[in-house]
Amino acid sequence: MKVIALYSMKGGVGKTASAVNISYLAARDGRHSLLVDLDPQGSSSFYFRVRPGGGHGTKTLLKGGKKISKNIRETDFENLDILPADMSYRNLDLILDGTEKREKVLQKNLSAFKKEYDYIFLDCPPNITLVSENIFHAADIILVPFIPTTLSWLTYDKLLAFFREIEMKRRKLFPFFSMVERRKKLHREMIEILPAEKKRFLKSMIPYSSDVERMGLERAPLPATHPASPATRAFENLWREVKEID
Amino acid sequence: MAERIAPESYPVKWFQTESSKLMFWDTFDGLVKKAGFSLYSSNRIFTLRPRQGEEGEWVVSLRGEPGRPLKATDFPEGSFRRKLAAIISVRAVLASAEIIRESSAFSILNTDGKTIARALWMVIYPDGGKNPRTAMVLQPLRGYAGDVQKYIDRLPRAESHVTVEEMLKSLLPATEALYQSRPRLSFDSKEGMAPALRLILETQFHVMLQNEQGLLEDWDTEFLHDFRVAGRRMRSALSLIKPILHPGIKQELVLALKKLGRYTGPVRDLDVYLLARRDFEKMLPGEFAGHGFDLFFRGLALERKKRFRELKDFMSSQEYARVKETWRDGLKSWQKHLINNPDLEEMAAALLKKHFRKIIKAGGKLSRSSADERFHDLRIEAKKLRYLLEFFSSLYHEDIIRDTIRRLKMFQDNLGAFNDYSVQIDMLEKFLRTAEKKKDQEQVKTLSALIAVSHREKEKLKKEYTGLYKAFADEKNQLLYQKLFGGNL
Repeated sequence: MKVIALYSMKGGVGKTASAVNISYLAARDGRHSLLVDLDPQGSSSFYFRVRPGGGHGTKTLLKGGKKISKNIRETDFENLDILPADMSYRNLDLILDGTEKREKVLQKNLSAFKKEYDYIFLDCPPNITLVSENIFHAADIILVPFIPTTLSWLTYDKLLAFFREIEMKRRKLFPFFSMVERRKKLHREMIEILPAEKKRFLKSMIPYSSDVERMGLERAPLPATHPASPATRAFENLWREVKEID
Repeated sequence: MAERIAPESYPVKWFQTESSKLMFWDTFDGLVKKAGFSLYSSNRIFTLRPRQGEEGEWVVSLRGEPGRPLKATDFPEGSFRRKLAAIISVRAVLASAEIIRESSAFSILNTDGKTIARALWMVIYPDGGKNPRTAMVLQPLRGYAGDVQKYIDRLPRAESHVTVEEMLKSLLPATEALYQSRPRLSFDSKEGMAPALRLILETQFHVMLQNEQGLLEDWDTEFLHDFRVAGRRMRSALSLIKPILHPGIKQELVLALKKLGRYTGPVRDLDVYLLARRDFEKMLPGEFAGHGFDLFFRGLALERKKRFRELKDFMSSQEYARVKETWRDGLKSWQKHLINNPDLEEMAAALLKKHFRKIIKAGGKLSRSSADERFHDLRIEAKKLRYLLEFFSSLYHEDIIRDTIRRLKMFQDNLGAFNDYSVQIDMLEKFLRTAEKKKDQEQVKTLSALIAVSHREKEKLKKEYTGLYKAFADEKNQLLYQKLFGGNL
């Protein structure tokens, strides 16, 4: 089982779209996949038309094992399950603060699904908190969507600094360009400079696309509804690259 | 297709519709079912599945005439074949009536447009066209079982089954009770031995007739085997349980069976050989299991074909019809031929006692140096006791009978195998003489090797005999028999 997190301190960079689409692609490959919607806004759950069941929330996630299992929902797509978000995740930080080995609770609880799933994808909330630290511990690969702008660069450097601070392995981090607009000069320049500087940049880039925006209307992964869209192809390339990471 | 009905307020999404034909398969004596499996085929794809809740599914594709009985060896090498062989051994599976199934797949959605269950709407024609039945198969998605239950509660009341196979099987025309080669008999003790003997004979005659079709069609070797064994039981019952019938009719009945045995015996002997081919191959050193070995078995198969044709001809003759007529008449006019009607329980106990004591006495005299003939005689004695135990099993406590038969069987297995080797050696020597005359060196080599290993195995069994006899004659077993006939031995 591999745990793959989609993480960024910034909001609106394409985390959820990436999480939904690549978890779908993993499942389409025949791999049993679970998407854990950790964002209290519940966008991933919304895309899959899933509402959280009653009683599912912070306590469940902390108790792990069977309690989590009960709240897992099968999506409309073969091999793909989802653990829907719940608004009580907002309080997750407060509760984690009071637990033992507080930065490793998520890691421990997800390990219960080792046999059941080939991949677990984490759609993360945009912040650096104790929840994020839990995510960093639990994940084998952390994918960081990166809009080619100066501000994104700044945020990414902050993330690296934080990793150093908590003595976390930075080689888990894999940034990739997201919401790329080729007609913008700044985007083109950044794409040219950055990968030379940041060695771990993935080659795949996700273009800015109205098809991705329409996902909210169609409430399904993009490759399922628009198999020929250029954005679909970009996500397929990204998934191909990610699954090759050791 | 019949009208599709679904409870209102749950939107559904339809997918493809398809039509398929389905058959269920099992051996004559229901071995697949007894082992807790289902075997079915659709479009030449065969699926073998354990009962609900158990792991595993074996699938294989097989070309061939649809509906023809199939043995495990008819399927391609692999895990499917191995699994099936473990269940049905040498028996063939026979096809049920064909079920035509038209099905449409659809999803049931909730108000968010989320799929809560995958479903299959089916129209089934269990009898090949008439009387369609409808059914729905629902598979709730993980996390939505509760919602789906609400949906089910709103459907019209109907039978429900846990698996699709179970449901389809329930639609097949009712079949006779499962075949048994040794049906348990229930006697009325007050009526005496005469009606009990009649019931024994009548039941075994029925078993014989049940195997007739499979034998004639040569579906597998066990139809002939069961057919023969039923006949032997009838003969044994007549000769062991006496005096009940007038000797005149008794002679007539036994002679009729003897005539039958003349045709069935040679085919069965060859079957035993052909079935043991693999064991022989394993016993022989590699250099003997080559071309000559192959040729020998090919010759046996040809001989079997010839003998089987003779048997088939006999069974379609007036002579065979008369054999059956003799038995039918004899059973019908039963009362007319009675000369005695002793107490059932008393006589059964006396018979068991007599034959058990005979074995203990004769068996105790045997050793490694005893002549083969003495072992054969003992084998026949043991068989008589076995038949008696089986005939009268319902008179005794089930546990005691099971235990006695189990112990006797262990003893019999040794004597039976010993006899098989003796018969084989006789037969092989006959073949050897022919091969020597023909100067067929390769055959001579193979046959000599086969004779040598058969001798070796036979001697091994003789060596094991004493230990097995001791176990059979021990105090524990004597006590068991005492419980059966009461009083002292």
